[in-house]
Amino acid sequence: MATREAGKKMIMLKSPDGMEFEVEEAVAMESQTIRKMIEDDCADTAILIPNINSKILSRVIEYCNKHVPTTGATGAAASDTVAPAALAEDLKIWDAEFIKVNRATRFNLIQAASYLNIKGLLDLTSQTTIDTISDNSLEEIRSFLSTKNDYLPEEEQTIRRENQWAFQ
Amino acid sequence: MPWLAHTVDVSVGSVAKRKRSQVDVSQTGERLRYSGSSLLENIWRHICSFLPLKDAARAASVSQSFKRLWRCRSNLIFSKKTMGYKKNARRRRITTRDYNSRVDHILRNHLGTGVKTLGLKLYGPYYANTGNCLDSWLQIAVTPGIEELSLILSNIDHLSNEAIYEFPCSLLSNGSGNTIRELDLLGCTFRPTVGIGCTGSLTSLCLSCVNIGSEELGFLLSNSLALERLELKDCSEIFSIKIPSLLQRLSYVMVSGCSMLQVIESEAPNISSFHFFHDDGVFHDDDVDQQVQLLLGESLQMKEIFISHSCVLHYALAVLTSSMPNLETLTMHSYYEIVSTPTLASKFLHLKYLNISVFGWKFASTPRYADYDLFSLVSCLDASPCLETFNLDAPMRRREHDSIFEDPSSQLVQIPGQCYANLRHVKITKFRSTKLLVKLTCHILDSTPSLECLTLDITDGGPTCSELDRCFVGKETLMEAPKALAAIQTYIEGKFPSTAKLNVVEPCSRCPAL
Repeated sequence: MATREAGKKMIMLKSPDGMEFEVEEAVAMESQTIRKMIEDDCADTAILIPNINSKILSRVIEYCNKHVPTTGATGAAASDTVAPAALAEDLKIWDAEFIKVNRATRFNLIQAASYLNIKGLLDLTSQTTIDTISDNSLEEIRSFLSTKNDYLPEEEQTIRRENQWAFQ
Repeated sequence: MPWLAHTVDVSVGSVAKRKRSQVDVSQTGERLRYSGSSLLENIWRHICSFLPLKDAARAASVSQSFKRLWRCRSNLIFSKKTMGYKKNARRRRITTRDYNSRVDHILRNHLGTGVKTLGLKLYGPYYANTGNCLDSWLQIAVTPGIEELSLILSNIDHLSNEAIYEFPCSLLSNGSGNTIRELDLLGCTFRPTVGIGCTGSLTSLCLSCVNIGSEELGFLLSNSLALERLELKDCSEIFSIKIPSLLQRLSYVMVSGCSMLQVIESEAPNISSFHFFHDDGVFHDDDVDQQVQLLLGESLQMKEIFISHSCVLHYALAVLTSSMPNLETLTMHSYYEIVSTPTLASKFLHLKYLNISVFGWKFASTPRYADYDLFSLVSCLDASPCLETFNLDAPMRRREHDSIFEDPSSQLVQIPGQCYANLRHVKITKFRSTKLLVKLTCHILDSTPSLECLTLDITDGGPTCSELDRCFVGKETLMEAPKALAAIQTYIEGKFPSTAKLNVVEPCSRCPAL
């Protein structure tokens, strides 16, 4: 109930490397994991986010800030004057810019999004990996993912035969 | 300080007495190596669930981990498209057989893996053994835990008396009914009985070309208390749809083309969007009385209505104004509109968008009634004091002697009506030089002080050559166009306010008439 009354209640997020981020509760609650903590009343002072360093955490907060529904945090006026379609288009452009990061960062963002349970961010960060798997040969996928072929030759033949249709 | 730990149990902190938050962040899944870091199997499962079916099957050859991900893929959407078949009409029979055997193989490999989403498109013709096949596939995939099920039997002649597939309702009684959220059936028979059991998680139900009786639909609805969306298309056995008041979450209802339908009766209190297309396909004057009764009751939550039916204007003004005071968008496609001067029961106090298409007026050929159709439209405007946007797709049929040029004085006749203080955008499609349209346009100009844009489209409003290969404009329309333009210049431009924008859409000069 506390979440309802406090329009601009602030939440402190701490990264394991000691950085503190003060964010609006509504922004933090874009993360379903944090939302659950707040709703269960476990977040009165600060929340330590383990395994997500300050660099990644600040990017995650940046994403949540942009994606929090406009009515709550940044004022109702914006959503009245801007058409929803234009807003969505704007967000899409912003997302495309946001995801222009190197592989390691993207990978860390996937983990953070999954851990903090932020569906939009997880979908966004996963897309490049999905495209890579869709568009490349098996060898290229293995090299992109730094994964090695752990099949025995006969096993590989069996699975290949089973899904022969997918190679046509 | 609460500790959002990387283990299942979190919030081990100084405030020990506080309730512990059980956030499931289980990380026991297997790790896949990636650039020196690791992605957990459940993240991979998420990523791979977005891979198209064919790509996921191919990726199974990348490594053992990918094979496991493929084997326990929880969303299976089968169609010739997702299975990568190219369109080839001559080989259709062969590809259908091939497709069926691939689906069979994949599903058998998924036995017991907990399918959450099954989309299954089946290609006809329907044979007796198709039913057995389908039964066994559904038995594999529809188990407790299933969330979305879409079964599409295409290419099957629903009008013939041949047997069509009967969906096994018993599947929903085994516990699957408790978890299923979306059910989408096309082209089969569905006979829920009173004992169907609880479908308490069902939020979306879509039945198209499904043989289901009114009572059977009733059994299903009364067990689906979480229902949010209901779509019924071309279900020709249904003559009555009763939506019980227990369906508190139901917000969207769409009924289309159910040819035997006589009545829709809803007691659900929170429907906000109602779409109803009654396409009886026959435009005989005698059939006008075959109206579907819409008993929607007091619907305070109703925001948007789309109705395509005979005499909708009349119905809307007589019934909807009083029962749906909060309506914001109203779209009506009407034919055989009864022309009379309707008495307004009350008003649409919140209506902002009004779209009207009229395909024919009853009695309209009698000159005596000629003005009543105009009054019907003006009544709709009068009933909507907050209206911001008005779109009219005007009647196409021309009567004799209805040109404004034959009786120019008639445009001077003041139509009683009120001021439309909020109206800003008006568009009239199929604008002709008829008395009705010129008088209506003049009336709107006289009564709309804050008008921003008036669009008069003198084409048929069809697709243009910028969207398709060519414009679709009839010969008559082209012949009428100069008169329509002349009417705009003579009667409308003169009184057009300088603060507003007049936009005239003319037929394209490059495309020949149809």
